[in-house]
Amino acid sequence: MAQAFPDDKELLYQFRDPSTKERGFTAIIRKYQEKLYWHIRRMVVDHEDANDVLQNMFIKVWNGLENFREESQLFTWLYRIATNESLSFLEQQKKRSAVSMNDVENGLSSRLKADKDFDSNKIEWKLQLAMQQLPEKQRIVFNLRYYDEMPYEEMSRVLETSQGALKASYHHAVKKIEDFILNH
Amino acid sequence: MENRNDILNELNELSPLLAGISREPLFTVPDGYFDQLPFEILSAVHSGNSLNSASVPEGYFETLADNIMARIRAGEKDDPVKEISELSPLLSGIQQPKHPYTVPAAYFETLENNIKGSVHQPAARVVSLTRFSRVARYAAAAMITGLACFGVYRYTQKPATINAVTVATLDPSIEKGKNMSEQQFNEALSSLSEEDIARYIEKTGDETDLAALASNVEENTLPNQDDYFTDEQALEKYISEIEQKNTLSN
Repeated sequence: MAQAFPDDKELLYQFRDPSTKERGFTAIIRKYQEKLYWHIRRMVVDHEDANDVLQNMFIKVWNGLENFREESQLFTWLYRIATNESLSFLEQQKKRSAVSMNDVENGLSSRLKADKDFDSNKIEWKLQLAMQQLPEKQRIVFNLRYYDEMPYEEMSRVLETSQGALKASYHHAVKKIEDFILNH
Repeated sequence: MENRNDILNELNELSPLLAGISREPLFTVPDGYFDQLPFEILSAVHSGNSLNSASVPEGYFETLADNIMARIRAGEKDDPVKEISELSPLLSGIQQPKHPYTVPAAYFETLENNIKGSVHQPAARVVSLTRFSRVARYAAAAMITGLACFGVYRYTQKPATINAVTVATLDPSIEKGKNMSEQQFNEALSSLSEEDIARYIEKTGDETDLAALASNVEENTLPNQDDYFTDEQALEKYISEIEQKNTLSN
């Protein structure tokens, strides 16, 4: 049975009260850790990298939640931080290895293939390889819609992009991924 | 006068079907509508407006299209599952969880403690620079700037006015460098270690020199310090940029 968590208003209230700040923060982690983890992991592929990005992300939440203006949902805000942290991580990888982002994406594909469970005949692995061919922002759009089934309206707030552009990007991504799977 | 029963009987004889339909009203009116209606009518009467006036609220037609589109969009349910099944039955058919990744056992159970540990030790994540490395960074920039300028001098054979005192205080290695060929000079330069550079600066410079050098070296033009020490291409690129600048200014 899925664990019941307090609603976001209650969590924010707990966090903002110094006497319950840690309890509120712990509850936020427990409530959103898996969704955020998988969102990050699908971007960076490797578990250790995803763990680093996720923990850095929550440290930023600890430092910044006090100033959260509640102009969006808490989850939207968390997703936005997780997305930006993932993109920053990939950008840092590019700088460290002094290669183009294409090479970083090829590096992620190589990491997929190096996974001990990798099976090129399984469609789930082909799907992951196909996703690595997408530009990173298009990959994020695909992840949010395909895996998290996020409405375009919410996605628009997470990514600060128009709904029309997101819809076009997603449809394009689906076609590219399908073509890749059918041809590999 | 006909009573209600007579009317019902008449209807039943005419059409049992119609007689069987409920006569409860289907339409609704807003709450309190009839309570307010007399006052609204009186108000319209006193203001001289016709209840059947053709007037419309200001800006009505300007916003009408947007309002209708907004209502249409609100009515279109955003259904990601239906969308993917229409776009790609192939992707739609992949079984949950739709990805092949695994996580280490008990990862999520221990995650919150790990995060809380990091939160209460923020300094642990900071990569702090030692004073030596900071000195070496400026020293390396200053040394390479100086040696690159000297290299350009060697290349252009441009005579320089050398102060006797300066000559007297030049490091022997630079004296030696003056007599080197370009290839020998480059080989010697590449063999310099970080420690050599720092020792040279410590021996021949002081805090004033470093401050002067630092003020002339804009930090944002330096390569990122991680690239600087780990990526030879970043260093070479920086040196060639300096050489170009010096060539243009001469």
